[in-house]
Amino acid sequence: MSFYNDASLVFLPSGGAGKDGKAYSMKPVPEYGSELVTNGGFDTDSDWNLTSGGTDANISNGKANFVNAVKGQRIQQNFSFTAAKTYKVVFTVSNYTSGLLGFYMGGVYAVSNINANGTYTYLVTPTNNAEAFLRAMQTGVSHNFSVDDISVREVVVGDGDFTFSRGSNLTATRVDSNGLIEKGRENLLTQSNNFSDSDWTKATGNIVTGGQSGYDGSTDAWEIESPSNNYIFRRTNTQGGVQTLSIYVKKNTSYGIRLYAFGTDNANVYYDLNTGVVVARDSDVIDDSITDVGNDWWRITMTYNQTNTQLYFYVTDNSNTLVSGGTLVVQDAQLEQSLVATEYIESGATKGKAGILEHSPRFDYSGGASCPSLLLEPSRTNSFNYSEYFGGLTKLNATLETNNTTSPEGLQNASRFLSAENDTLSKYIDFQGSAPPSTENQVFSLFVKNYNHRYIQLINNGDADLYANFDIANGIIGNYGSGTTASIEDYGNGWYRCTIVCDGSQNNINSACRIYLVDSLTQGYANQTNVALGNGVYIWGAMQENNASYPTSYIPNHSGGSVTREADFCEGAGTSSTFNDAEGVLYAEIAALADDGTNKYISINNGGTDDYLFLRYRSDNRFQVRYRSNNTDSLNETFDLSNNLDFNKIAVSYKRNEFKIFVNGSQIGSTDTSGTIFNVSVDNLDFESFNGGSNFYGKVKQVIVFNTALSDVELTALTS
Amino acid sequence: MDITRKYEFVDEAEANEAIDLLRDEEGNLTESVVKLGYLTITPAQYDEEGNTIKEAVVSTKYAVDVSWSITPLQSWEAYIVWPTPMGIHNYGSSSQRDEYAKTYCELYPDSEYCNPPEITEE
Repeated sequence: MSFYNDASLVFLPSGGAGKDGKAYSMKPVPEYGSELVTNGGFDTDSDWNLTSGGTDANISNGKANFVNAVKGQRIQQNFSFTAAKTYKVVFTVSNYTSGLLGFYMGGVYAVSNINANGTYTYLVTPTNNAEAFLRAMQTGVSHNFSVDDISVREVVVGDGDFTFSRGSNLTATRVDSNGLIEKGRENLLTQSNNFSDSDWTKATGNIVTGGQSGYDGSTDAWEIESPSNNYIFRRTNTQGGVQTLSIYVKKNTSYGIRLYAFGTDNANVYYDLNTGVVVARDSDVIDDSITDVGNDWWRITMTYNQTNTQLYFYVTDNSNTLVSGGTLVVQDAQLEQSLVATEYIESGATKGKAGILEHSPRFDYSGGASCPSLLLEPSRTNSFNYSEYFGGLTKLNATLETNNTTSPEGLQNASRFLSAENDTLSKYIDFQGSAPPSTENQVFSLFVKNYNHRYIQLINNGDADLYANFDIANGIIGNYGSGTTASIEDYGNGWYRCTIVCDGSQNNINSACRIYLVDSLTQGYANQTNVALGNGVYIWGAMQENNASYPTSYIPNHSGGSVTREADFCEGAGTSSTFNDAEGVLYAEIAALADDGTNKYISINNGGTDDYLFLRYRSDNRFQVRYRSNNTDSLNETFDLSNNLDFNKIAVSYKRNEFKIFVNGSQIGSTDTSGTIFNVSVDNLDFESFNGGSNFYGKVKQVIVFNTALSDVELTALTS
Repeated sequence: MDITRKYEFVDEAEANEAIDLLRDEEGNLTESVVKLGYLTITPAQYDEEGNTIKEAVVSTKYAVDVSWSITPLQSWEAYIVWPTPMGIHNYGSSSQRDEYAKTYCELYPDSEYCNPPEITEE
């Protein structure tokens, strides 16, 4: 048989299988009925009723417009639909300035609080056959927005997509298909290449002219002229922390530019566009660069760490003097929370975003995997104020060079940590975070690469039992303290993620963690060792997770405070037609993140507590399969997998008087010949318990649902 | 869109009472909550051996951040605080951070955060 052809639901993580708020399944392919709405494009002022007198809404310019509408204003059409059937509703909101929009259908509000432009999609199951309408929802507020392209169609076959949420973009990462760590990114400058926009404050008399030839072959560049000795642009930026400002620039009648971030500190850099060199900088600048991008264009960058800044751009000459009447050509400005400039992201009226987005599932290629897995993690906080910028940290007998080499992210934003003394002395960097509550654990992780030295030690500064030694040339763990467990993971290109988990039940854990340069794998806690002057390692990606027993994926932090990545939620796939109550198979290829004593479920359910099927890693770290019908067990088996952290292929086949479990090509126990099938239909597949909670935190390579029971031969093949 | 709000309680017990209002019938939290605890105002200082030279100074209030997917409960309003965006803990998506900053400036329009000083040298 072809398993994918015969399955009713197939979820396979891959590059195109997710977007903001969805994790897509390959099957079932949804089918929809004919369009129920007439004139959904509002091409003519017909077919729609504008109720509440119709004075607060109109149809014009191809849209339905709410204009200073009060609560209760409707735009309505009487099309035919049937209670208890499910309908897909899609419409687009534009020109939004105020109020809340709702959509009502047959006794149900699909939504009642739309407050932004966008295209919205909902599934609605009406409870009666009466009216449907768009409605202004907010008391005492004028509603002003337009609606277009409304469509309502019956769902004949529902999709098998999961609803996905996380609520974090900039703090979430994954390992991409190139083996590099990918972050969420954001251009903090709105109208990033629209210098005539009012978001760019211009000094009196300054002139900007668009339509110039750009560095990228476009005509999207801007000539700027400063007729006075003043700035050409100013931007207010209240976001704090480590930031990098960048802009593409080309000489014209002038050949110098100055970037100035004025705030809690003053970061200033002068660039010479003739020679391509930085000619002056302030000490408050962390880093700067000028990079030739061809045809006399340069990308210039300035990195600083401060809050509440005004950003200024000036035209200068080669003696760093402001030029009156000088001109330059500029394009594509970007401000980002980063130690280096990354690929340009266009911003319009809202900030441009790229990489890991809010509510986007993470398809992860960790460990050199050729096929990705869906990564589902709990919420975690990185308590270190900075995860990549270490310039402000206390260090002893050591030097630190920021942006010295290429990191596991593929950018030159890793630091070099070198011994500054030849004597037998401690050489360390001290990372300050926060202490966990009494008896709770702490995880300290750091990416480390051999520069010309192979041995390091990680410690928590609170107790002599909290340390481990690592050989980061060969990926080996050495001596470690009695209150510590250690791990080392290869991230490629010589980088290892070294981790210590500090046991808080017996030890005093404090807020400070350190990396030491040591001279062997057998060194004791924080010993003074002989590491020669100039020897050292590269470091990047520091992370401290409190109340945690294992490390999770890297959480970047440039904020100056702690940051939290929220938990992943993946739930709600399928409808009653996806699952067969009489017989079927649930198959999953999964790995747990840790044996951490928590329950981690995958379940088929109907939201109740009487009829469900689940797979779970139990709190005692055993594995359990349970099929329950009418609050009675038809199947309930608990067993041990060889390793919960490895990918295991697990299939459960159910049919009246025939229940069986196969794992990695073999049957577990014997076929149960006495059970009954679901009493109340199931309609939902969740990565959580049958009644919510106890989320599955792990990695998922595939999940498949069949609507028929499979033979032993088929189950063996499926799980092999 | 979810929104982030920040709260301070007398102690953890008072915070837990409020957090329990965010649980469903099975006891699962329905909103995302981070218990920050007693925030460090001034970090502790340690010597080379890890001995404390100077104890940390911590807040007397117990801090909790919530990422609300619903309209925040009225009962939590009494505990809300508005540190300068976003205080010492960044929580939620970048959109949530923008919303927090925008609301902060609506509440405190004259604050320095909302009116960054401009240079006077030129």
